[in-house]
Formats: sequence, structure tokens, C-alpha cells
Amino acid sequence: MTQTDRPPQAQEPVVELRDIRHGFEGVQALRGVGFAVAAGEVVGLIGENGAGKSTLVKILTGVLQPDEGTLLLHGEEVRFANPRAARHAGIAAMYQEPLIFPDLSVAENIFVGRQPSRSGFVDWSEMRDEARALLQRLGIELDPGTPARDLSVAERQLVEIAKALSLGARIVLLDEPTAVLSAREVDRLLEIVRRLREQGITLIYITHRLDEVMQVTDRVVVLRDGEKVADVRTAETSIRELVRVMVGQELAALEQRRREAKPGDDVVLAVHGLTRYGYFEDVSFQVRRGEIVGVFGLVGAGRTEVAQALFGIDPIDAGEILLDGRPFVPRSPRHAIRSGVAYLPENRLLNGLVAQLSIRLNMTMTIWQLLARLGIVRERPVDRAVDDLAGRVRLQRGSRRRAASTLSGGNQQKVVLSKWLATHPKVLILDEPTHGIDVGAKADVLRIVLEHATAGVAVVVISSELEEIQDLSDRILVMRAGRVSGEFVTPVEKDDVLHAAYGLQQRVAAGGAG
Amino acid sequence: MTSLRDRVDSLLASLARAPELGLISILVALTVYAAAALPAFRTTGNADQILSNSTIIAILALAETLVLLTRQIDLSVGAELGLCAYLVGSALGHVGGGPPVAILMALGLGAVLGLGNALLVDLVRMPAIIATLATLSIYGGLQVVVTHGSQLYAYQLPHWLTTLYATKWGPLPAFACVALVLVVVLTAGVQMTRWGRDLYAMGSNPEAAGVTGLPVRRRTYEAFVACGALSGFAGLLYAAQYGNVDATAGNGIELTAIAAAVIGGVSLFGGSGTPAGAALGALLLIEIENILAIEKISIFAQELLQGLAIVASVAVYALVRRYSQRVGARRRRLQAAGPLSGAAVVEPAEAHP
Repeated sequence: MTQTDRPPQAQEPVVELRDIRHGFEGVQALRGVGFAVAAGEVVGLIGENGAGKSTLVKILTGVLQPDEGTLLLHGEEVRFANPRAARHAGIAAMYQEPLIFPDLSVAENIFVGRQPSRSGFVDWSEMRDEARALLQRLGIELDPGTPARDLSVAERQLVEIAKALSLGARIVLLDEPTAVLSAREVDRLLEIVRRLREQGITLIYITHRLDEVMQVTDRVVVLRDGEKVADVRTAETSIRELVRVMVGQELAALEQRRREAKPGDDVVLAVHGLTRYGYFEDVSFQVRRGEIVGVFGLVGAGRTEVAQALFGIDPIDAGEILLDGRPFVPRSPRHAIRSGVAYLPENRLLNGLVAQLSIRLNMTMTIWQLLARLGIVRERPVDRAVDDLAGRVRLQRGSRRRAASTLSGGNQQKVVLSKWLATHPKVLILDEPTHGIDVGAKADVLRIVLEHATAGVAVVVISSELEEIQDLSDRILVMRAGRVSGEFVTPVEKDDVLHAAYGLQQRVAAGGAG
Repeated sequence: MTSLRDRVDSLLASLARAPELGLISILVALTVYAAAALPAFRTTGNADQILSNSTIIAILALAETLVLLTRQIDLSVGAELGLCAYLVGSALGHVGGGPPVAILMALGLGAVLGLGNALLVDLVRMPAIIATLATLSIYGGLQVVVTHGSQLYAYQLPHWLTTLYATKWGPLPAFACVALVLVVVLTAGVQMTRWGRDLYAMGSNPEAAGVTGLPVRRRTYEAFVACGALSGFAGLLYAAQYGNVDATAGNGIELTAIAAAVIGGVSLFGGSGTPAGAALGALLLIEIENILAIEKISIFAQELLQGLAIVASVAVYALVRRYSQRVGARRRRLQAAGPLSGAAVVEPAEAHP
């Protein structure tokens, strides 16, 4: 996919890290990481939050000094005492939100502190010309005279890159640059990354987005828990593979264990002819002990509505639900919870998380009654429950008393998930559990699903990501326009599922359920 | 095909970049109006008086601008002026001395006082507003101590100094010429040298200035010292203008100076504004004062109007800036849609609520 006329490995590495170790406050962020990058190579650096990516960036840019290990630049050992030293050596980093001078022009932002001057006075036209030439070479369409205040974040990033290059940077680190960009802006940035590569600039591209890694990198280095767990050529790997590597053999092992455990025969949840007029009709399915059933369908196909009915949010007009073989008429979410049903709603910000409340209260709000004695919630049992849950979902470290809104999307989702796991459900319904969260959190969610299924929980996963459902589920239920339009036992062909979801050949956008 | 909207856009954009233009239009309009309506305003003597009376405020505003550009503030310029006016004035009275000596003394003493501010800001790490509030009291207190409650009289000052206010150099009053020279020098200094651009950069984004490796600490010292030196020089002119200098000389004048700078488009948040703007701001304030005096409107109403002028100008600057940013955003959208049109609508980046 990328036209390489020079095999990167053949060249002497520009940067080489050897056995880099670093820890703060007893936490080992990097435990012996080493890899080399050749000139003009684009290396993707990926890993979950806390895998050590940021620490590595800081070491490369001289913000931090490694406890142990060596850093080689063009084969020579170097040690950066401070960021300036790294910059002098030709290493520049570009962060998500670049530091620009809003009151200065694009040109001056690039040349600030070293504006071209003639006999003591800044030569503005010279500066503008140089800036224009530089931007042109990078394929950045920006007027050098524009005040930086008027630039978008994406444009500010480009100015920062131009500045780094004009400062003589030959090695550029991009630290999650695309997290704040729109799709079109991402394309533009990737285009510029390719152009830099053609000009022999070495790039280390740190991101959460694996599709970008596949598009733009030559090689991928995967970090996990401060160690390098993979170093592969991009052409020889795939997103699925990378996810697997990022979360280790763990998921594979879990899947294996679950296969061996074999879902039981006893049906935990049975639904017959469930109907809510105008939303869904005649929906029937079963979920066994330890089974994972995926529900696929277009938005508006009625998936969420069925889940909400099972959880007692929406009324039921007809049909029957059996829970452990006994008739179950969900009267309210509270009733559903007490009966052993948990539902992770689709939109965590709207329905799942009380963003202003602390993390610990969010995690335990479903079990306050259990933790309370005489109506008073006691501190210690809450802390114990929170510690236990945080460990199970691998919540990011830090105070549990902070507002939940301070967490990243993935960690927020883990908090919401914890709340439902705390109720020890028999039936766990997850509505788009991995939507909009980073790879690491996604993997954690999948792991949690697998673990609970292995432990005998009946799991229903509603998702729009077909590959994910294919990988995860024992069976896939397809809904279309409020009805079950197909049921498949995995493995199943993608096309079969899509056909059922779209209804034969006709491509109906968003079935007319609502 | 320049539509009206485009023309308004470009007008506002240039206004956002050079607020002095707007200020000049207001000054011209006000002058034309006052000249037409008030016979007393029309005299040459009155014009000279406006220019000369603006000079001290203008120089203080220039001094303040250097510090404001770096996102700091100096509240002590009035006290610096007062102390320098008294000390330099009485030194000249005692030992005599021509203009070069006087200017050097005023600049030097002012610079030392400015250095005091810089030390508090840099070494003690006090926020500038607190540090200079403290030195406002300290320098003001020193002024009381050194004057012993007495005052300096015009007859104690050298003749050349006391006649300077009424002197004309060519068509302009000497004071106005001095102000003009300073505006030119400082404009060149901040707009055309790396030194000055560093000040803008520091005020525009202090964190970025540090990361970029600009000599932030050094420039902070230089800005405060230069501000003090200019304030000291303004003190010399104060002695020249009023002849009498007592313990209250310069009291409260710092607020007028800051007001002039702000009206002139110098941002309190650093990074934008020009010396010319600050000086024009001073001129506008004094001209309004002059008109109100001719109209015999109370001094309290003058203060009220000054306050309103500050509010109005800051509001206008904010609106113009916001508008030009919107124009910038629209330009971006058009650009984005241009070469790749037909594709899906550009989604804004996923934002956290």
C-alpha cells in the first residue's frame, strides 16, 4: 500500500532505544523497551492507556530521563538533559493541542525567536516568503499572514510541524494528533505524514486509532504494561491482529477457556413473540447459561427498544419472557435489576453516567442498598467494592473520588460497566459497549464479556460492529424493521448477516421502526 | 465579485488587525464635531494644549504597553513618576544640569524602580498585579518620606525645564514632539525587532514562549525596567509641566494610563496592541476631557465618561475580534468544501460536552 523503494530495515537506524526503563513512585512505566527506527520510516506506536507510550515520548523529547537503558541517535549514545537538548538533536514532538501564539501570524509562529532580520530589524517579507516556501513544500495550504488565532486545531498542528521542520527536526513524534480532528482533517494530516516520509523525515506516530496505523505506518510497535510486545511490519499485520497483541494472548486464552467451558443447556432468558407496537413485533430468542448472543441490525431496527423492554424501561404489548424458566414481567429497571437483569445503555453520557458524581458513587450506585446498614451507606464496604470492581474492569489509576466526567471515554464506559457488574446479573445486556472508546478499553470490555460468559452469565451484546460480534458471539441475531430477520450460529459469513440486516437486496437505510 | 458582505468582512478584519485605524476615525470625527460646535475648541492654543496635556499620559501608556504586551501589568507607574519627578527635580535644583543629565537621571532612577518590580515578579514569583500594587504603596510611601510633606516649587527647577511645556518646536509643542519620537522608537522596537516580537510572543502564550526557548525571564526584566525608565522620564516632564511637585504627584495617574492603553487596543491578556494605539488612546481621553472642560461639565462626569469609554472600546475590540474569527472559520469551511466538494459534510471534531 505504500510504495517503498528502500527497505527500511536495510538502513542504519536513526533512533534506537535499548532496554529503556523508567518508573515513577514505584510504578514501572517502562520495563526495558527497545526498538529502532530507520530514516524516513513511519513507525506506529500503539498500546492501551498506561502502556508506556507517553513516558516513551517524554524520554525521546528530553522531558524525562530514563532510569536505565540507552538512547542512540545515528548510532551514537545520547542523553537529553532537557527538551532543548532533544530539539537540538533534531527531535521534535507535536501534541494534540499544539502550543501556538494566537496573536502572531502563521509565519511568525514558525520563526518566532529567530525571525529573519536585516541590521537588527525583522525582515517581514523575507519571513513570509520563507514561510510560504516551507508550507508549500509540505503541501500545507495556509496563508503565512493569517493570525494563528483564526486557525483550526488541525491547522495549528500543521504550523507546529512546519515549525519543527524549519528548526531542523529530522525525527518527528506525533502524539495522538488525530484524537481531536475531523475525518477530513485526519486525511489531510496523514497526507502530510506521507509527504514528510518521502522527504526522509523519520516519524513516530502514536495513536489509538488502528485504521490510521494501517494507512500510514511502515511498522508498528505495540507496548503493553511498559513492555514491547510486538514489532511488526504493517503490511504483514491487521487491525484484528494488533488488537489481539495489544491485549496479549489474554483474549485468545479467554475465548479458548470459554469454548472448553461450553455454554450449558439450561436457558436463562427466553423471549417469545415479544411485541411493542410501533417499535418491534414478534421477537423471539433464547440465551443459555454462559452463552454470548450478538444482536446486529441497523440503527432503528428495534434492537435497543427490545433491550429496554427487557429491562423494564419500555412497556410490552404482547409476548412472554421467561427468566430461568419462570415468567418474568419487568415492571421497572429496579425490578429487572433485582431479578438479575443488567442493561448497559447505548449512550453512556446520556443514560449511564452521572458525570458530576464521583467515580466511586457511580460504580456502586446500583448496590447502595446492599452496602448500607440501616439506610446509611458506609464508607469501607463502598471502598472495598470499588477496589474490587476497578480491578476487574482495569480502571485507570487515580483517585476514585474525582468526578466521573474527568475520565476518558473508555474509562467512563468501564465505570458504567462496573455499576452493572456490581449487581451480579444472570443476564447481562450490553448496548454498543465498545462504541467510541479507545482500543485498550475496547479490549477490556471484550475481556469482561468473555469472563462473565465463562462464569455462566447469559450475555446479549448489541453492536453495529459486525466483526466484533462475529468474533465474540456464539450466535448472532439480526433485526430489521422491528423484527428478527435472521439467526446465525458463528462462524458465519459477513454477507449473510448483512443481507438479513438490509432485507434481501434492497438497501433500506435505517429500517422504519420508529 | 466583492459583495457588501465581503467588503464588511475585510474592513472588520483589517480593523481587528489594526485597531488604531478605528481609533483614528473616532478621533477625527470627535475633533471635526467639536471644532464645528465649539468655537473655544477651534483655537491653535487649545490644540496645542490637548497635545501637550496628552503627553505624560501617553508616555505612561507607552510604558505600560511594554509590560501589558507580556501579559503582566504595572500598577506602580504613577508612583514611579511621582518619585522621579520629586527626586530628579530636586537634584536638578540642587546641583543643576542640562537636559542630558536630567534625562539620564530620570531614566536611570525609573529603571531602578522598574527593576524592583521585575525582581518581585521573577525572583519572589509574585503575580505582577500584587507585586506592583505593593510597590505602588512602597514608592508612593517613599515619595511622602522624601518630600517630608513639603513640595518642590517651579523656581527651584532649572529654567530650561520649566519653560519646556510652553516651548514649540516647529509647528508642534515640544511635549508632543517628545511623545511622537517615543511612539516612533517604541513602535520600531516592538514591531520590528526580535526583542519586541518576543514580548508579543510571551504575552500571546507564555507557556509556548517557554517551550520555544525564548528568553522569557530576561524579557520580563527588560519590560519592567523599560516601563520604569519611561515612567521616570514622564516624571521629569511632570515636573516641567506643573512646576510644583509634592507627595501626591502622580497619584492615580496609573489607572488613566492603563485606561489609555486599553482604549488604544492593548490587551490586558497580552500579545496584542501597539504603542501608537496606546498613545492615541491617551490623546482621545485628554481630548474628551478638554471638550468637557470647555462645555463646563463636571469633573465627575468626566470620570464617568472615561469609564464608559473603556467599556465601549473593550467591547468593540472583543466584538470585532470575534467577528473576524467567525470570518476565519467561514473561510476555512469554504476552503475545506472547495477542492473536495461533493463528499460528506465535514463533521466537527468529536467534542466533549
